Amino acid sequence: MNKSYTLLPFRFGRFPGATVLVVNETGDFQFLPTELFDQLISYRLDHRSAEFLDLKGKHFVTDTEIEPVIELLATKYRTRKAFLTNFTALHIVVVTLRCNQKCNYCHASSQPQEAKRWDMNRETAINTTKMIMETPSPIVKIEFQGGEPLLNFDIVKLIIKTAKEINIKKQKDLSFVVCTNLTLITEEVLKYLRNEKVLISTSLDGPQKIHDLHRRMRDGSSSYEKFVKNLELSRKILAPEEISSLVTITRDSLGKMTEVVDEYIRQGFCSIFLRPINPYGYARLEHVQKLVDYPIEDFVDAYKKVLPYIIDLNLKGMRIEECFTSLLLTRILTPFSTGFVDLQSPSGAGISGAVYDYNGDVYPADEGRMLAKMGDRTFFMGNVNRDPYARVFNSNFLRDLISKSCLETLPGCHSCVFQAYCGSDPIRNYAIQGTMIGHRPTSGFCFMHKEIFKYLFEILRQDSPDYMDVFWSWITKRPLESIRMRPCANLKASRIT
Amino acid sequence: MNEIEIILSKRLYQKEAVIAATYMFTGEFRTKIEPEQTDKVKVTLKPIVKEKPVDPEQTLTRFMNEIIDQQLRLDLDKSYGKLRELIVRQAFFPVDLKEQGHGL
Repeated sequence: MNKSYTLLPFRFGRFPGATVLVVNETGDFQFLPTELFDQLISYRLDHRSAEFLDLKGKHFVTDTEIEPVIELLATKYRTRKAFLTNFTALHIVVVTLRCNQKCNYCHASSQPQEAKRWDMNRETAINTTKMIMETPSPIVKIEFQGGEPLLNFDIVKLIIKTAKEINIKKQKDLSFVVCTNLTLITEEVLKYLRNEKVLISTSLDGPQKIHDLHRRMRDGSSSYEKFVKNLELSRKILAPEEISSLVTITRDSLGKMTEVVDEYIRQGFCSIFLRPINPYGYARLEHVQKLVDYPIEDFVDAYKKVLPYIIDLNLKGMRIEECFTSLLLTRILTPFSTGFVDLQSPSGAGISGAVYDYNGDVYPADEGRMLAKMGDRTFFMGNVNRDPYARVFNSNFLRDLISKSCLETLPGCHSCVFQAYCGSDPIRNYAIQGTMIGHRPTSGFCFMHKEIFKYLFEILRQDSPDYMDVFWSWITKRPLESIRMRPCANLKASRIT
Repeated sequence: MNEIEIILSKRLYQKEAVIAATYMFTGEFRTKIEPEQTDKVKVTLKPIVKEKPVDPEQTLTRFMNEIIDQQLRLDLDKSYGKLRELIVRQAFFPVDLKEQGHGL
């Protein structure tokens, strides 16, 4: 066969309407009618055609010298994988398991408010901080979780103080986040957080009737009213961008996603992260599953219904970003690295994020800690009071875990057209399917991501200027007006390269 | 429907393509791959949930489309598999150099 061009590596998948999506190693994509795809792979594509030039520009083919193209693709590949360069940046510290709320779906399997034996002590807090600051990463984010971390606030303060002292020498880009239900927050605490530049991440499940269904105080009373009152107080002391919120979608909110989005806007949030309920902690108990869980297909349907609603709100002038969509679109439409511990290849478990339990036990992710809580210590990496950093983070166990999370080698993922944008979660695979490698044909995680990718690519294929403007405003974190003031024709479904 | 049997020519489909295609059906079917004569292979798909209706024609079409795509991926990989390795190796080349430097 006379080959007038060289094919460069890509993956492909078939779409409705006799269309093939091709995606290369660095995430560039192109839709091709089946006929053109056939011509492409059989070297019959006219290299003077517009399609050929498109494919050449996106590095699917080349008819010139190959070395510079390989060099360029390698540089782009390295950029996309830049999240691997720095090693562990996110450090989650569970300062207590105690909580003043008792949420049905709690990932953390919280303990009663008076049970102080579940608090992190001073020695463990100092050793945890020392271990965190040993990371080679120049960026360190310490996230305080619980239980409710404000119940052990002295330890939060101790860790912040110790980390800052160590950092005088280390000079890392150090930041802090406290994950709180806000019900215990006071003016004094808020002023401390403001002075120490600590961000707040909280939880809001929707309007009162939805929020209070599964997020109640331990005495059974409403948490919503306290939340709203304290959110208002927090906003008086902290800047709006210093407070973000996460939503947990339960069976009850699945059909009411627009109400949830409306509540986020009502409470002054500019973003929402739609995510299905995690199968850990109390959410794994059979009676709780019946109450809050749902088939993943239902979540995907709800997502597909609510995304156009969110986009429409943006077009009407209300800025609200759907962060999961934004993350995936950044991967699809830009060459930039977007490490996201829960969806990256290799997995971020241990190498991008780590969890330190109240007793100093270290896990690669919160899910590993939850499994240990339920008696399965497979993901236990070591203890800050007994083990040196190298033993915890340079173990054969962690190497094995990471090697089992590279999509290029996982059955079903190795040839998936969405591989460049997706990731794996070996701990979730283990928790749900019994093996770290998992089984894609029965994986809800795989199903959900594939369906959402297909849906987003269908939107990109339609290339609606309005939708694309909203997407670009999310990706670039700029106001929609500033996106629309520019001549947008060159920004549509094309990709920044 | 009890099961679907598919006979495939080894001259057209490599073992890797047969396994990869069959794997995609392991969520819905109990699968079996076995040699058939010297130049063929037999794939058997048996529904896991007996009560769930399965359209044999549709399943067969899905399987054949899947195996063609899997074989195509292998064929394409012969063209550019080495380039893929080269891109990844080149992308991490500075890291290799650094590691080698530490060893000196």
